[in-house]
Amino acid sequence: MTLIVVETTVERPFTAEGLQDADRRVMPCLEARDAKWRYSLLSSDWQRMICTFEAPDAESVRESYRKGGVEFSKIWVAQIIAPEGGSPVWNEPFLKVFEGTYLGGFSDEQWQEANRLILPCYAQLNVEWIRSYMSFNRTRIVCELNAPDAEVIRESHRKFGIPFDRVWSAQLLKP
Amino acid sequence: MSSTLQIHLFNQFSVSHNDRPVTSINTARSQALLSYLVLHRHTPQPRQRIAFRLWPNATDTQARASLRKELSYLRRDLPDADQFLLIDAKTLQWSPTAPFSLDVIDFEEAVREAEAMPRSARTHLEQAVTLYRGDLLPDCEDEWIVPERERLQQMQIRALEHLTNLLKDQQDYRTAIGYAQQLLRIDPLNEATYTSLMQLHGLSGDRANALQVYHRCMTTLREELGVAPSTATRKLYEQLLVEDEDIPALQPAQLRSAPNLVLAAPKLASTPLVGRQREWALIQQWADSASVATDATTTDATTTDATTEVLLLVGEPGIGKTRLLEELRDTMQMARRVLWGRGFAAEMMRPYGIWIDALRSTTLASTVPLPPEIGFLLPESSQPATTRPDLLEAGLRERGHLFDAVVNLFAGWANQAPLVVILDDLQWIDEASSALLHYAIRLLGHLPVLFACTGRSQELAENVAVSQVVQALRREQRLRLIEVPPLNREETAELMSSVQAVQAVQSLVPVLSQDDIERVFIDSGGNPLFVLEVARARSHTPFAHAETLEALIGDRLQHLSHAAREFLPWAAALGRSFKPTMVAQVVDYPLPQLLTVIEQLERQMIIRPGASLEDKQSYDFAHDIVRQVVYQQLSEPRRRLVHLQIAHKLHQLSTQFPSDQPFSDQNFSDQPCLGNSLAGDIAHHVAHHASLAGDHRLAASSALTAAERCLKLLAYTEATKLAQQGIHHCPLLDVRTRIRVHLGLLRVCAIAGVKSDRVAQLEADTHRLMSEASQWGLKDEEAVGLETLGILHFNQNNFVSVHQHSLQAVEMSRVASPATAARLLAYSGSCLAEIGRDMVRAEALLLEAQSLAGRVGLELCDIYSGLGSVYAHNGRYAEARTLLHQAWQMSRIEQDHWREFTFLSYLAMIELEVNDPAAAVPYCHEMATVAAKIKGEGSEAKVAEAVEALAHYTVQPTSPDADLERAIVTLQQVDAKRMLSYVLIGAAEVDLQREQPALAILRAETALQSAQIIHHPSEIALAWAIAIQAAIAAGESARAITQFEELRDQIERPALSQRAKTAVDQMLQQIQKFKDPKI
Repeated sequence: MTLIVVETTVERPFTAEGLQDADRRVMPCLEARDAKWRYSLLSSDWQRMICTFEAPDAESVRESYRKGGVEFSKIWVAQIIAPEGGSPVWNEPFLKVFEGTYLGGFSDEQWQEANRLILPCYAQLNVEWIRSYMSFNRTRIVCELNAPDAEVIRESHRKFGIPFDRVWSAQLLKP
Repeated sequence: MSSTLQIHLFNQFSVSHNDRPVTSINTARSQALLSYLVLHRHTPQPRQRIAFRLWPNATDTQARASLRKELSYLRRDLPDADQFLLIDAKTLQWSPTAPFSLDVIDFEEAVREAEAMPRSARTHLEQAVTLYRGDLLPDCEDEWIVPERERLQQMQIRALEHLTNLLKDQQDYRTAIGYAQQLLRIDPLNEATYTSLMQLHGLSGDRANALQVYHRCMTTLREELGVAPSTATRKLYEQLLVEDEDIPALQPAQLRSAPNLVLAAPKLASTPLVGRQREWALIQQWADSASVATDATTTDATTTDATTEVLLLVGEPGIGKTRLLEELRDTMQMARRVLWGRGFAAEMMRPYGIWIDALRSTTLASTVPLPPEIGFLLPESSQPATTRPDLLEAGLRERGHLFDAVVNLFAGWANQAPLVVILDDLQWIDEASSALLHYAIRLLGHLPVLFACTGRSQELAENVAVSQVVQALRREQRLRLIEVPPLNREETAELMSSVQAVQAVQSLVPVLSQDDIERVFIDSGGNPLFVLEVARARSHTPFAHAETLEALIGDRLQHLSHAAREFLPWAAALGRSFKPTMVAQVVDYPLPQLLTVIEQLERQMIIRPGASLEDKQSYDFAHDIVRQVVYQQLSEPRRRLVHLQIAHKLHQLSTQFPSDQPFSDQNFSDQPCLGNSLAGDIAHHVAHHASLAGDHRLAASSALTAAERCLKLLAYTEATKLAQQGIHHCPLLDVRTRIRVHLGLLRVCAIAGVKSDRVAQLEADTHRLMSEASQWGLKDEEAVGLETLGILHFNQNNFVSVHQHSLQAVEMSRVASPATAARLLAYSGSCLAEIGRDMVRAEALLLEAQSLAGRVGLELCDIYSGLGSVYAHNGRYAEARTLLHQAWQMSRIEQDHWREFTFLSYLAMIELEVNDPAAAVPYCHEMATVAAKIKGEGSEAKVAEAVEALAHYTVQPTSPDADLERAIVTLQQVDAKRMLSYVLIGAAEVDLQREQPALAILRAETALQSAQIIHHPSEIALAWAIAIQAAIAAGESARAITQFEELRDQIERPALSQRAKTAVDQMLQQIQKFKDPKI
């Protein structure tokens, strides 16, 4: 099984009914294709959502979304990178999401270097790195963090010159 | 080494030598000579004695000459004859020490060992009764063999008795029943065996069958010996009939886990099967071929895709269709689970009636778990809807769930033992039952599930839903239709004689003359039911002559006792099988008196035991024509009164339960007259009887209740019919009731779906009634009208007109509307079709969606595309192209770009599959255009490029494959494995044709990996087959064989597309050169 990340940004915020409806339309097709929803992260303004799936391939998830008429912005195959010694648990009231795009690809060396710089800073600011999803071409990174607020994450990255697209507060949706 | 000879004399003569049949000993006399010698092997037999016994009518000289001749033939035809035959001038002997085996010796040995070793008696007895495959040389008519045949038969009877008792002691009642039935087949006049069988059925908790055994005992003893069963047998019968709880000895320990499950049994054959050799041979042929088909699919999944045929017996009423099915059931029920359901003319609006009865005809206590949805059909199954509150609230969201539940249940049973589903009188089944029948037949085609049905030719054609099923089966070449013709003159005479024989014993009628037979044959036209009635009439009026069957039955009824004649109209008015206890309750009839009446009616062959519900025996008329005659004899006013009383009594019973509890959930099992069987659909019965009684208020309100129940079961046709029936009564109601009930019925009509031409009328009626409701201040009723309008607009896709306030109500109601159900089914079916798995189910779901959408004139592109994919899968490309083109056009109109793109891609793939890549290219261009309109970062543009690259690669043999390679890499990057495997397979096929096997192997093996990840059966098989062919072409036979062995057991041919099947067949032919020719 492959780990699949689905990113969606909408102009009009999602609604609870809309999400339930999307669920109803997508899930049967996903099940038929042997795909399984793991969990989703929904932004506090209800306009951004990142969902993760286990599926035979990314196309199975794309087709299920398309067939159900459910919007998405990007679907990609991911690998998980987690802290050594295991991930801390989600602390839902403090859950944050960090997103970055790196057109040239984030090399392993760059990743090690970034971690060397940012993790001590995180520790000082009471930020816990839970895990990250990196696309197979290493151009896209989504990190889950427990942090007092989003701004401390932004500041830390600016401080070390690590670019990012956005950082947001998230709520967790699970099956 | 000595050779061995195997001789079988039970059931049929056969000899084999070293496991090869010896066919040259094929004349009756040669076989008799060998049999005589082998059966008298212990002493030399004088030639004169043998000659006299084998040729008793010849002179001594002729007989001895014949013996010499036959002996010379035997010495010539029997392998190593001199080893077996000891011959001298005066005697002949079979050498007892020669190396041979004889089934008779083995049988006797097994019986002896059972007696000598009580601890292993069961094993030896089972071995013995298996060896006795039938009587000793049944075709041999020589006198010398009779005592030997009888001796062995007696041994078999004793063995069976011994074994039955042994199994009874071991509490293995089910097996014991099988042996007791075997015993009855050998000796049908043994009353002790009947008693034993009744006890065994009772002990196993199957009271219905126990009672039927009594009936069979009574009939057989009366017909054959002219005597009644003994007092002891009668006592046992009465005990079984009346007692509910107080027979501790009969409580089956092993069924206590499901004490409320309904046990039932099919009806009993009560008349001999006369004639019908042709029809019976055809039925056996059908059963054999069905077994072969299912065996083939289970034993060699790679090369076989056979499906079973459905048996349909058609013919006029009384012609003997049911009798043939009873014979079939009796033959099959030893080794198979048999379900028996029947359609009733009075129940054409009872949703799933025949299926409910069929499910109730078998014990549900099994190792196969019951799906929760079955609770909607069988509330008593301990699978009530309350265990699934989501289902209870929403009803079944789609009919497919219910159908799948039934199919899964049957499949589970079939995996334990072959299943036979017998459905009698199909002409009277409801639309929902027809849909389920078609669905089940499609999905169970590869499993050992046989469907055997009957129907009246003319009326079958009038039942639109059933005739569509029949037509579809005929189109798919899955129908074995057998016309049951009238009996000929000789068969008529035989049937007459069989009945007259009993009456002659009882000195009731004079012996039949040729004139009698001729007259009966002409009067009856060879209709067996008619013949039987004439025969019975002669017991009262020896020279009876009647113009019609009905008149004969009518005359016979006149000879019944007063009590029986009083009882019958109530039973007939019920319109289906009935329980005596229920009739007793409805008419306040004392039960003991009733039992006397029942017995009389059974003896007179007016009624017969039928199914048993909640341990309460039910009965049915011997034939529906008998019911009709009884019913027609009622005067119109009396008929109305009878129906009125039934309606009120049923209604009264139904209202004893909390009104907020759905009928289907109520536990009627404690009621003296109502089991759960009627609880669920009691409103339907009340509506039926109230309507016939002219009680308009009860008829209309019950029709509403029954129609709403139909909606819960997604039985739209029945809901509509009931609603229309209820509306018919509305004008005669008081104003407030009329407005309430009529609006409720219109709401049912709206949910059940109407085509656009009826919408206007429905709307107008709703508006009119809403206006009246407003005048009378009936707010709730007005709201129902508003909801109805909302539903109508919603189903017509006229969302603007849906009243804001009723939106929520519409959302709630649409759960059960055919439009929504069709959408859901189309969605599920097309989804399955897209992924290329379970195409049979996909097609069944899509056809069901098509049927439901047709009710409301709805057009859904998913249905066209899904069916198009199914047809393409089956290699029906022309039909697939048409359907996909329609789907494409619809999606263009709807501006659904993704669907537009997808359907174009299917069209392009069809052109590639039919080897016309040039025709695929324009579709690819259109795909690229549409892909640009699709929002979100999808894979569509890349897919369009890949399909076009494949088309070019295929069409231009000399073109470089840079585009294709790039497309393949892109598909890998976007992780679209299905399309990747498709393109790689197409490319590998081209490579193989261009004699580039190494490249073909590489691509096919990569395709195989992708296809395996997404579990696409056809692409797996295609990639596998091409990889093997490419390996063979590359001279890598070892690699080909390894590849072949790796997956051969995983390829299931029935699941493959036509294209994949062709590729696999080609590969199999090639691989045979390298492998064992048996492959």
